[in-house]
Amino acid sequence: MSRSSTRMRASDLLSIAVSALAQQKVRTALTVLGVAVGTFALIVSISVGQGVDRAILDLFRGTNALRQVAVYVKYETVPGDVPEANKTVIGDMSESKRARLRHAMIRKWDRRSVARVKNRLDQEGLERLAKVPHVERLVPVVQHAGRGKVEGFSKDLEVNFSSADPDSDFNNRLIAGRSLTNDVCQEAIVHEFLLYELGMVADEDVRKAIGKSIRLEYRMGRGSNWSLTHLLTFGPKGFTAIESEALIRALHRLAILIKLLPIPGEERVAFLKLLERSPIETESMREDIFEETFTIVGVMREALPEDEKRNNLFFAGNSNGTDILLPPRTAAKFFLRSSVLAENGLNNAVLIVDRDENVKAVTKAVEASGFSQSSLVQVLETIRMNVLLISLATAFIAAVALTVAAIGITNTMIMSVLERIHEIGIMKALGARTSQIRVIFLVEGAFIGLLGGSLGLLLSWLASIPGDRFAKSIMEAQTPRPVAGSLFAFPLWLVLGGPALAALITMLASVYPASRAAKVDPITSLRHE
Amino acid sequence: MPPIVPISEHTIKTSELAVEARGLTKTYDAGGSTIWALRSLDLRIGRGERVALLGKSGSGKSTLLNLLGGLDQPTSGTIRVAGADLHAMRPDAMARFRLETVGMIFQAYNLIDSRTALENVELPMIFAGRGKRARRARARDALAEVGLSDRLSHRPNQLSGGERQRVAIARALVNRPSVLLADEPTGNLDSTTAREVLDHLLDHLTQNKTTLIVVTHDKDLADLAAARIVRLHDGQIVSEDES
Repeated sequence: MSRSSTRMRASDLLSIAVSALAQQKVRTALTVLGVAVGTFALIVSISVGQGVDRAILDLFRGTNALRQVAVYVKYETVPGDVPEANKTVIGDMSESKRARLRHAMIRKWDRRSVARVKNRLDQEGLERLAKVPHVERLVPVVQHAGRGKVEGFSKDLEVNFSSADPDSDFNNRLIAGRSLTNDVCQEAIVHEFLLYELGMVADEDVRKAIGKSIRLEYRMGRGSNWSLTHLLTFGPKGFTAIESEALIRALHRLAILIKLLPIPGEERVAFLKLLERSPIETESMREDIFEETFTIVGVMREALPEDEKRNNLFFAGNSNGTDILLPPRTAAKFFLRSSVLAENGLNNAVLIVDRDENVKAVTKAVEASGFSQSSLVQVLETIRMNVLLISLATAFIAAVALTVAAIGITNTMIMSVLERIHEIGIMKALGARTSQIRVIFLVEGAFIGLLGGSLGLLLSWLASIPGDRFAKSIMEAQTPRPVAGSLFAFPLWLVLGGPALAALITMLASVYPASRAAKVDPITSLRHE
Repeated sequence: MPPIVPISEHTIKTSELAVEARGLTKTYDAGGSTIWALRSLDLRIGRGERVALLGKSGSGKSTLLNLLGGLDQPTSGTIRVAGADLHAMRPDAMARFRLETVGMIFQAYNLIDSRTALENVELPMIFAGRGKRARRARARDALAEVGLSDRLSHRPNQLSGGERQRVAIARALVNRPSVLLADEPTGNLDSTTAREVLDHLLDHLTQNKTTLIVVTHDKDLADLAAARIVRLHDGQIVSEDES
């Protein structure tokens, strides 16, 4: 006969392995089941980890919040500004202790004027931030009370006006007109209640306001505003400037998380209203009055609880409580006409970054510019790390289960070798090489793993259907935003990798039995019946 | 006893040798004592020759057959089969030798019970890496040659003793070996079936000029199957005759 290669074909190897396994159906089925259970546990734990991670990402990405970086001004106490008497330590002590106590005295110096803004969010500061690489947009956060007068109406109105992100939630609430043209136009969007106060009651009346001008009067004076900042600065508790600033920053950071907390909507709205910001005022603050005229281009309806779920601009607070929305850059320019604000600048702004992966670079640039910052990326990283750790822990336990199954396979395969010793002898007498016998048993092991792994994959997918419903019913009761997609993720690498890993483990478990089979002496085994 | 000069020493040229064993010794250790299966045995068999190894149980004939088939290693001495020096062979080369050069038939058939007659015959070709279509056709032909065309899908336990041995013959010959080693091939068969099996075997050998070494204790079988009878006793050749 023609001499061909003595390398066995893969299909023949598989055929011999399957044929041998088919001889012991019950034993094979139980072994496969053991592998399936281990693989099931492994895949489910990884799948849940991946699914929850994806759901978290979707939750954040769905709001664009992940691309936002909130920028805050930093305050610093300059030792030179503290009167000598307030930083002199009296008594005998070591120099190191004296230095520490002096530091404490300066820190405790609670006059607001001492805390200086390190870098101001004035027009120049805003321009600098806008030029940070990867910053797509800059939204200065401005909110203030003042007076408004609509063209054709004599009535003066007490109004709250604030800067708006033109991409944000109020677009969904427009009932007449259109959105703002851009961030620097001289346009305004007014609340339907404002028009009601002016006597425009009927539904169709709101359209009549479009195109009219509104004159806004800015008035800033002590006692004219009662915001959180005022409360902290001038309230009975008497927080120091640094303490109140730290509190404001902490509360703003809390605002990120408050939307994720399982609390009633009205509590969330109230908390966010508490954060309505105003510039930090000083002893030297005096009343500023100036005005500008804007064209009404849109009318927005009252915000409803479900609108909150669509709020894009996480850090800007919400626009639900405002009467008039102004283009953010125009609003900033308007407010910075105030001598107090011109001196101190705005309190904060929000940067919209072009892509998620550039947020870190932007936060670094912001820090380097002398501002403090906060972004959801840091929060998200912590959450994702926790999910990953939990997922790894459960996957480890599942891997132990799979290993136990693999040990069972070693035992089963040894039994199989002993039972088939005569058959092995025949194959060797017929010319089977030692390596071929070894490979036959390794393929048997791998086949058990592949079969068990595939079954485990199928079971995990089936279990994910009711499992997802159950998990979502719990999650959605506690989060304001519905969870999109399944909480069980089956990426391609898991679908292919799960059974492949099971096959690898079971093949490794077959190494010893296969080695024993390969070492069978044909003379001895041919006598064995 | 005077030294025996084997017939082959005088009649077969080296270039025509199928088997050449020199000083072949095989011992076994049995609880501290040594059992001599073969004692410095010399044997030369020509290509296409039919030789019967005759002897009583324990005379060493099966041990000699296993050594010639590469299933076992001698304690000392050399063996050349179809020009291949078995002593120098590594395990993989030895497996290839068993696959390509020799065919073996056993008294107990040694078929794999879980495989059909066709699959049993296919087995050596699977180890040789032959394609499915080619080997299946070859196995069918081999079974047809031994008269088992209608038993292809039968498993060994569905076949009679004679049919099983014919499957074993087909399997031994399917790779067209140059040397066929048969250990009591009709030992488990009745005389009629034994004759049928032998006829099939001899037909093939005649057509393909295959060397036959058959181990038996049956003088009639030896006379029928072989042209030369080598008698063994206590691990040594005691006589050689032409039948």
